[in-house]
Amino acid sequence: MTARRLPGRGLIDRSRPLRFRFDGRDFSGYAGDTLASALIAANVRVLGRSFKYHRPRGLWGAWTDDPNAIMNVTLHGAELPNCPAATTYAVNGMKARAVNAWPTAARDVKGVLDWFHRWLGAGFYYKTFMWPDWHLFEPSIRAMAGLGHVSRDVLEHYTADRTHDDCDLLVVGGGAAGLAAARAGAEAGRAVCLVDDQRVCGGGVYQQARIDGATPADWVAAQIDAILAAGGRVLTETTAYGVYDHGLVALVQNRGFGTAPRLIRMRAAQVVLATGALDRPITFAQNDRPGVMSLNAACELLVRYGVLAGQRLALVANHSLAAPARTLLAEAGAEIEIYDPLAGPLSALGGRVTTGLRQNGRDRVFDAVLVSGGQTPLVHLWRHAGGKLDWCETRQAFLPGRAPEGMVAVGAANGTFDLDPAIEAACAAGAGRPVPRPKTHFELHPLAPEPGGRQWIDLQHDVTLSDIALAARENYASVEHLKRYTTLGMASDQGKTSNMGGLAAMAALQGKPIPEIGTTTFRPPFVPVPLELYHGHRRGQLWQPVRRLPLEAEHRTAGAALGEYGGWLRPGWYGAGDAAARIAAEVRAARDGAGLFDASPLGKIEVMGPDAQAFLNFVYYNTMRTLEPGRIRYGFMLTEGGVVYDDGVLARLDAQHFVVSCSSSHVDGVRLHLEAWRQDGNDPDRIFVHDATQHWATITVTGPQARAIVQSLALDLDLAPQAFPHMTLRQTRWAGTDLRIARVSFSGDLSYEISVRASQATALWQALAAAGATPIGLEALSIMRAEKGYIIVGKDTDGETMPQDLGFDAPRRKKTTAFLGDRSLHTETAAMEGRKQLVGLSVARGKPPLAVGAHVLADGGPAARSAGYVTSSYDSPTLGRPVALGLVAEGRSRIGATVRVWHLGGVVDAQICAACVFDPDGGRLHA
Amino acid sequence: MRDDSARWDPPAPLGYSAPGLTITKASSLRQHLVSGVGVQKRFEDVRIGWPDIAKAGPLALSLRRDRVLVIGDVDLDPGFHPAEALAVTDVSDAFAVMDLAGAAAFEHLRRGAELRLDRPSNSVMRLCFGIEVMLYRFADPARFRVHVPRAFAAAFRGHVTAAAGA
Amino acid sequence: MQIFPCPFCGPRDEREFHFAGELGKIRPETTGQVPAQDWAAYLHTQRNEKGAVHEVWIHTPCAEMFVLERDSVSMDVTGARALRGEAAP
Repeated sequence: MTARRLPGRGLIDRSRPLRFRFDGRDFSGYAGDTLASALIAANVRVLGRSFKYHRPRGLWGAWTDDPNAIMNVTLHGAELPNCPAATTYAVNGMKARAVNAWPTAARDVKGVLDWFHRWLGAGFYYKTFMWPDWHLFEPSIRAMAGLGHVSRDVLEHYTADRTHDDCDLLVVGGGAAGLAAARAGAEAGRAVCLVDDQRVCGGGVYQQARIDGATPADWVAAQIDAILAAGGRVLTETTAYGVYDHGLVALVQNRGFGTAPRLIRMRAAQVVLATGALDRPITFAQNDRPGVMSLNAACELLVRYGVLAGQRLALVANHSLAAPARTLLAEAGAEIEIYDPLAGPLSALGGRVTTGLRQNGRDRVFDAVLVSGGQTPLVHLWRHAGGKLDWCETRQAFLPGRAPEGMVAVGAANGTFDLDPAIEAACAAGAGRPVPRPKTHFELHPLAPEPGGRQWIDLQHDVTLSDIALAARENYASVEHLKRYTTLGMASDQGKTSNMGGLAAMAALQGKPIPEIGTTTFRPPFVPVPLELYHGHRRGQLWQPVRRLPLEAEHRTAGAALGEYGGWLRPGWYGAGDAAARIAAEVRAARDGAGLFDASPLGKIEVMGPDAQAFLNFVYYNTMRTLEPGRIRYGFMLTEGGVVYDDGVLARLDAQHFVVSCSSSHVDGVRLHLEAWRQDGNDPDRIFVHDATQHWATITVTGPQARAIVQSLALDLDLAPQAFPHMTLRQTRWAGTDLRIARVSFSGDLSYEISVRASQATALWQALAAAGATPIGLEALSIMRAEKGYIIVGKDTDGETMPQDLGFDAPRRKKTTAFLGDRSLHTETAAMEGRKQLVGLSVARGKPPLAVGAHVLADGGPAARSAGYVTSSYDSPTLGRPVALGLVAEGRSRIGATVRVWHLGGVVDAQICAACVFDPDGGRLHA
Repeated sequence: MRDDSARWDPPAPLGYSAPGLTITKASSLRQHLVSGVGVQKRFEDVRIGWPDIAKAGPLALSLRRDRVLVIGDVDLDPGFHPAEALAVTDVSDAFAVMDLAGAAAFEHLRRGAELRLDRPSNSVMRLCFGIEVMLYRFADPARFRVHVPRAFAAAFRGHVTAAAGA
Repeated sequence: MQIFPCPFCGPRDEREFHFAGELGKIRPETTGQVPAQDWAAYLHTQRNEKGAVHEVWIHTPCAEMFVLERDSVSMDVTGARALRGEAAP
């Protein structure tokens, strides 16, 4: 008789049977079964294939420590790759398929790869595919490698829930120690949260006959009741998978198959680790055969799922915890024979699956070989938090040593494998008392791997004892080198079962003690988590939301083509059809009549106070202290490195009140920049910075008819050029609301920038449109400003551009007070010849515009060298020919020169000209 | 240069109702930034921090060491007042104001920030769902009032409702 | 994710903070002669210390600039004070 389900045992719900498919065959199970437990109950031995040799793989562990049974699982049309069968709860109607195997795990055609294992050892790829070029081989190797396949179907509504939470005490692990710690904490009045990764709390406690006189199930229920009654919380199917700075623990909560899990960022004042320990494998010949299983897995299968792993069982163990396990399994009806791994080399017998065990020439027949080579405490989270590990000779294990801030380990995770002392220590930890490590009754006979036959260390990645020996011979002896050379511990279980075996083997090969070998770094996540966990609802329009204009509805009604410009959703142009023609028409309408432009994102940062003037004079390159109330001045802000950071205008409302109108995409940056210099280096009690940008909508009327359009508003304001000249500002009222009107221009034509409360913007826009102004988008304005040689910082400047490169040299030479970036304008680099300067580039009428980014070639020399590049380029509807701006070495002294412009292999001629090619005298601007 | 109009839906109205959460747009409030030395003291009687529960009437939301957002009437015109050493700016239209109420309101807001009712703060300023907002309670322990920069109001509402549905 | 204490607002998570620079960088008086080495040191030289560090950070929602004392290895925060030493009200 082989593996079977026993009547009446386990935590499964036998009143709720279910059916599922695995590799094309139908199976049944019960609610509470994992895919693995239901398959073992049906005596399925081969549940997967190994990564490299495609060797048959059975179940090793009954929970997160199983590296073998990995499946693509489909339910209701949703397919998820790489589900560990040991931790995936079975659901009626599931279809599971072993990964990395075809057509089935039992009959995988690539199993023939194992015949060539002699030539496929560690480092095989590195050594074999060097010549002539790895990249020739890579595609086919990549195609062969990998585990499950990602479905091409998009999972609709597969959206992780991500939230924040906090507690006084987070207890990780709901076994006996965790439950006791959580109860003690909650009863001591602490806000406790207990997390357990299984559906039913209790950990390994169900392997006990009685606990405190009660059955394990009753005891667990009593603890949970007490925790809840004291105000604590219990989260099941929730795994603490990473510990981060300052008490942050990442929890992933299962929400059912096919539903994306929940991420809880738990801020815990204290963490009690009660994560338990794993059975450690023993390396012997053919120890990877299906049927070789961890002792603990066999016990858990029995007590949680009512599954006996086999009738005739060999038990190979080297420590004192094997005896109670033997009793448990024997009482369930198994016939058990004990093997001492120290008594002689072992070898698993059988072909595809294990049929027996050989020691000292004696063969015996078994259904399964149960193995435990010691206990490996789960210290992953301890290490994430920066805790130290100490080597324990008695337990032959790394145990928690010096504790990280706010963390304590109890129970098997702390090497306390005996139940009563574990509960005692856990109670102390939960109540916040110090926890000395109790003395242990645990006894273990150390094992060292002995060569002979093929002995597996990493079951998923096919790392054998001889691979470790090869790595040692080739001097990949450091554990971190060993890991990368052999891929030991790089499987999806991240070495939960293989690392200690690998370390022990490397230690034995080098004749060193294990602590001298050390461990590799433990990194989150403790279990694989879907990438969706890091994504959540931030997708589509919420991925990076754009800023919305107060006038968006108006623009949509007018048929605007909206696009993202500097973080704002703005009209590029209006109307359907040929965009270029629409844009050209808008330019002509604005140049001939009046354009109406939404400039609302322009900065409106108010700077006030007695030191405001001196402060602004310091943060601007241009002299601002002489700016008079009611007037506006154009200027640059520089970085301390002297590079142009922003350009814009500054308006002075009165002696101690200024408005910084920085460029639209720089408002947040400029506000922070001003705030930083206000507080660091100035007296913040005498300067105040208020960002009022979004209080105002700004509507620009531009063009020769602009004055007439504004006149139609019937404002109490003299609009005559001498009364309201260029670069001045007026405040007035219209329809019961305040207006600020600035005569500044980015188009080169007479312009009024009218700011109005955002809530009143629609009425003003409609009034101006009704008066005959044509809505124009940002594309038309971009062309008009390029015709005037007006720059956009970041487009027509780069990370080296200084103000003198743009033709603004006077403050650099003459400004006497200190200003940001001043000293940097007089370095060797700043004074260097050959700096790239802003110029215009013209091409003949009828030629296509230059490409933005095209390089201006330097003269002379055999090889082509770049002397600069095109930054802006348009077909000018105003001039009927292409216009362009560029940064060209010594450009301003080369006006009139013909240069060659290179783009994607082609070369065209262009002529260097002044940046401003429209209305150079400014007659239209000052009109 | 491309037309992305179809990629971005027109901003949804701020109102929302689902079990455990309703979002309502607060009627337009007069909002003024007032900065200056001692401004916290000057408005001490009506000053609101986190997790204070504000009552209807004039309020001064504590924003930072030397700044409050006054809701309701201010007896000072916008501009700088040398005698009081106070800077005043009308920002009534700069922030959309909405109330999140219901049994799950706090739980939903918590998806956007590490919020704790047991951790008081001098300031109502928060980064919530990546947006700088002012957040406090209004009239009721389970009613949260949020002032969101106008251009992000719909995005904030979108974050709250999308995360609530996830 | 770290928790930093804003001297005015109290503890908030690191997403609300922005590093401004190491403490103790004094801007040279640029109306006089500033040797190129001094200016270069001001712009570019960072102590980048291992262990206890004193840095200037800004809490962006409230715009408070403050001195943060922390350990660059253990990430422990050991202190925070307003740039000009004011206490929270």
